Amino acid sequence: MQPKVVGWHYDYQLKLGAILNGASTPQVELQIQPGAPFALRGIGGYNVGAPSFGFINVTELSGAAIQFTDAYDNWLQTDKIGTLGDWPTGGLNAQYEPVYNQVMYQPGSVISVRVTNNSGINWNDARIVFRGTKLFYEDRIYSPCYPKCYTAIPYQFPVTYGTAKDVIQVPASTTVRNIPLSVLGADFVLRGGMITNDTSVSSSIGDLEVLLRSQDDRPYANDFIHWQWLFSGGLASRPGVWYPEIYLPKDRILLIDCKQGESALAAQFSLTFTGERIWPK
Amino acid sequence: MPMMPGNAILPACYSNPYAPPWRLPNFESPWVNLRWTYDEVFLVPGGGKTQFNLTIPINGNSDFICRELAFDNGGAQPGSLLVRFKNADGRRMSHDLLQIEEYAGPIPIDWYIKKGTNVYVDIQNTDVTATLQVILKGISVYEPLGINTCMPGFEPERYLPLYKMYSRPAQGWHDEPYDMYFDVEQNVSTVIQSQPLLMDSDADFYVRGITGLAAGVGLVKVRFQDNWQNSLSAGYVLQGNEFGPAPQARPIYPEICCPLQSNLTVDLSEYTGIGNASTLFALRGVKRFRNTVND
Repeated sequence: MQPKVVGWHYDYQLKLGAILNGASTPQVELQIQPGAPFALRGIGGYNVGAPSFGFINVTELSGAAIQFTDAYDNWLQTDKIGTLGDWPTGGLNAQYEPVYNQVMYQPGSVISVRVTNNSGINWNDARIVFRGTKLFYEDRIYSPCYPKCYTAIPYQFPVTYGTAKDVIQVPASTTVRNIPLSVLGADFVLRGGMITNDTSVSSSIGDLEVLLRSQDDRPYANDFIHWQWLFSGGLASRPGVWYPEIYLPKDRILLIDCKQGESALAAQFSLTFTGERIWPK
Repeated sequence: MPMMPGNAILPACYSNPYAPPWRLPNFESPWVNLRWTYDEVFLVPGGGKTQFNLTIPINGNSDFICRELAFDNGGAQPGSLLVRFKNADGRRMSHDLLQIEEYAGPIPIDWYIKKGTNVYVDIQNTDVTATLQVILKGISVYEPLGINTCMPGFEPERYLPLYKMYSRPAQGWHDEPYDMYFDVEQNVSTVIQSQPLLMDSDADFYVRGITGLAAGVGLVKVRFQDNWQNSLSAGYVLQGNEFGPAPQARPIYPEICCPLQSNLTVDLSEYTGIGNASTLFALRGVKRFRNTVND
């Protein structure tokens, strides 16, 4: 009998650095981590602007032209593709451009990428996010699942960190690690998330980056990623979706790292996870 | 597939009911699919001229199934570029030229293009000279050479659209779409506890989404409870995370069953301290009726 394979949501972020208007990167390689194959299922990107008066503006990679390979160095496009037409959202609000059929990358293989900046402006810190699923044999990682028989209700989890309830507070230019989402009372299935800025501290999350990790410290991305490429903002009808979903048994925690970049402000925002509450019967 | 009471289907363990389907290639298939994108950049003179039969060559080693069209007009005036595709035999794929904005997007039927052939495109430009990148998105179809596969043992991920995961009416009953609208007025920096949301008396209501907006100066955070006073969140949820921006609804799964004449309750807290709040929201779902002779 073959062992069962389970999925683990994962985002690979490739930092390209500064790209002047009209310039192209050399061929850049993103190495797939050795532990598990990776099924690429979505792609997006963004540029982190230079700080201006303490604020950082993050924008889509509109006006890029991009080309990338499969695990066997085959380019998957005949030429670089303009994101203006190919990526309607480019991952903004976690609405990634689907890669379908998905592309499999073996452990240790690379995604080669070539990018040209045709946007009309210089990019300070361009990043590409490859969204997909890592595959593990199920006995290699902790992967609980639904009980055989249960009752359930829809459920939302606002996370509290700091002095104000139901919001997260991160001081300016600070990284706060291990903010816990504590699952108490019943199991919780995390399927998506939304962020809303706390309007009492306006524009405080322009450069907020987030990394999620399991209780065992296993991350869901290889790097901090800007929140608007992980969650939807002001768009609760289309929450940023994790695939596969994250099953959190009762009394487990999910760890959240938040990095408030160079903004002059402390970040104050509501991060709400949406999903389902599960009681075994 | 296991069933819940009310015939709702349980989600697969390792998928996500909010997400699109993802499947690995079928290992028994005689073909292997690989995502592929064709693109060609054309310089298109302006002034309303039409260039005919520009070619997009298809690779010689694999057939191509085109599923979506996209265009990068390089910032040209919207509506100024029109295209028409022709297949490898030169047969037109539309009666006349269409604006690229009308063409862009998924195509309703897979377009199977044989390897080693050409796709032809006519382009008309009614504005000044521009460049147009024509993009064909889809999959290349190869003989199985070991590409795009992963380790054995992967069970194809099951997927059902969310609308199919909700309960279905029993025989002799039917569902009708329904929005249950509520309006709550509230003073600045106040908390309203257990505001009842009364259900109608004609049928059970199944909540499957929620949409809303703030009409006042202040903003609220909310916490809902179902008919049995189970809290539907771990704390107060800011309205931006709770309500889909009207008229789009935030999906609610699993659905909340509200028997006729029952009531949900909601706690509302005005949190900005800058003004009174007026919260308008609608619970979106279906009412379940017994069939009559007219149904």
